[in-house]
Amino acid sequence: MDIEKYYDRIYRYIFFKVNNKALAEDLTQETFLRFLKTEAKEPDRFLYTVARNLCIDEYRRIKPVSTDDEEALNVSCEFEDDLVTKVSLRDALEKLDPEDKEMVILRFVNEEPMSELCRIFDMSRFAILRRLNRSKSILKETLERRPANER
Amino acid sequence: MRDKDLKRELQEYAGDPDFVKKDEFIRSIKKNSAGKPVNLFTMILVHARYIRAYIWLLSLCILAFAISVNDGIFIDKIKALSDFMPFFAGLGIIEAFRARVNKMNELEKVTVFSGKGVFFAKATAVCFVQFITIILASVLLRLSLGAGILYSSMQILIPFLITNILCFIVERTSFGRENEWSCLGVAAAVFLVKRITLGGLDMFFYLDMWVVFVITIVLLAIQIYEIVKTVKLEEKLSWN
Amino acid sequence: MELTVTGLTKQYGDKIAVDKMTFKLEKGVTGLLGANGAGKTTLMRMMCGILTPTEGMIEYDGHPVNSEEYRNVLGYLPQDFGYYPEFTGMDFLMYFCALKGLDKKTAKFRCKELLELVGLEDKAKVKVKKYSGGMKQRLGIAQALINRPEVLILDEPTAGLDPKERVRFRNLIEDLGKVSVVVLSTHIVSDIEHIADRIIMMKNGHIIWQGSWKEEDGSLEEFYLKEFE
Repeated sequence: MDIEKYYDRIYRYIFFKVNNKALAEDLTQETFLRFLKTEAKEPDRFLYTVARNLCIDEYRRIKPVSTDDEEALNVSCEFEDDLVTKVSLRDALEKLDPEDKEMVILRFVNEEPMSELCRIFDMSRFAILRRLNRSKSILKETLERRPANER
Repeated sequence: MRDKDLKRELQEYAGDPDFVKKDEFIRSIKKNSAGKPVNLFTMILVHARYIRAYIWLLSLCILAFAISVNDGIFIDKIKALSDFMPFFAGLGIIEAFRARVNKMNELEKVTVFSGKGVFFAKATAVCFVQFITIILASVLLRLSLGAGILYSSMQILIPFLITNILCFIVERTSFGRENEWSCLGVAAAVFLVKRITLGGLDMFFYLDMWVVFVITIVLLAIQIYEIVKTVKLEEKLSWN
Repeated sequence: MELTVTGLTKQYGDKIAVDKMTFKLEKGVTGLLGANGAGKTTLMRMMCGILTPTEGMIEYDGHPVNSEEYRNVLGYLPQDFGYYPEFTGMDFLMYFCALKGLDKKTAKFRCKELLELVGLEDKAKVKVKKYSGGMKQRLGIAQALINRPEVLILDEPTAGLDPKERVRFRNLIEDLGKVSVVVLSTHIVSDIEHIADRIIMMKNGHIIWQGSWKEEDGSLEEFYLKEFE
């Protein structure tokens, strides 16, 4: 497992889910520890799966009532920093489907290659590109509408 | 909005994890996993990668010359290579001592592939490249001229080894330390002495084959001794 | 994490550069204060294993200072260092990554990360010979951090840094001191006054004072000057 390569990526992936720096750091480290303990034989990209599951577990820990995974991933306001200032970007991301949001994070933030995205989402390149382009349009449209001083 | 602006905003939104926490965590993970074994061969390979292009180019030129078509003058090609060897050796020594000249040697000593071993690895890498060149050149001379491999390799090796040994001695003096190109002076001196003492003839005109062979072996042993001695003396630094 | 120095002596002919020094260092920042000629650099070179002591011993967690285990966790910035003239900032760090045993892929990530940390990310492809003194020093600091050292030895690291860079550097050292043994030498008191957990004052190869310095103890600079009278 190449921890040097994946640490920052996993951190950013988790941060987009929990919107809290300290929690994201703790969960990132937990991801690697759990991966090494139980999933060490899986390829490195499995780290994303471990991270995803940890975020769900964490959300369930805070809000045990919800049993819906999609809801757990979508509504992350429980973890938010009080001082979150980039509201517009967060709003823009919330307009996306959870799966589209994941694609955007993996492709644009973590710069994962298309082949990886195809494998993770079990879709063709064409389907992924189509969805990424649509997500890009939505994000750009939202961000362009915000006041000039927030850009 | 451009794609790259969107990308930048997304990446900035997440930011970077805390450097120190990350550092401590990764260190603890690495400490518990098996470390990479360090061996001399890997060390030499690392340094070989950083040998400058001109050494490789010179080696290729030597090999190209060795395999080039012989126009019938048997001795001259070997003599030409033999005459060039002092300069080949001098440039190699300059390459081996580069770290000291460029004040990188202290930094290099404090690495895993290290201790005094760094200089040893670097010198060995350069000598190794040159030595292989000489052996290959001898083989190619056999193919192009029909000359005996031992015959031509000794003719080429002896001036090479003499220059190398003298350069190591000079590099241990303060003059050598302060003058990066002193080895080329040594090379020129060896070339001139060789020309003057042998005239236009090769050493086998004056000495039996087995005598030349013994001289070669002795020079090889002195060469190894000089490398080891220089490595040990590399530690002597001025203090503040 | 414990660096132990016992009876350390370095003698050149009849000149004693370091004279029977004994101390123990743990996690945190230790400032080595002393004028030029006090023996700081000699001590640091011995602590890095690149200079053999005449007498005495240095160990880190039971490993001798010339062992591979120690070099694996050591980072060093000498007072004066150079570079191969053809190297860019990135080349320089990649070279040391190779010498420190990092594979190429890992090395690339690490170099990018370190260049960002020291604020040289947009100078990565610029030749080091075009760097200012402060930039070169920052590159040197980045080099010392390549292998995530547990022991960081920095010889006059703030030389050549402008005030803004000095502040940035002090913050970095303070952070690193939370997770490593950091030893930095200087003759400028303000460099370490607020960040050092422990101070060792040296003169003519001896320790003339060592301990922690708190704000309520007064001005470190005054005390330092007094001790040297």
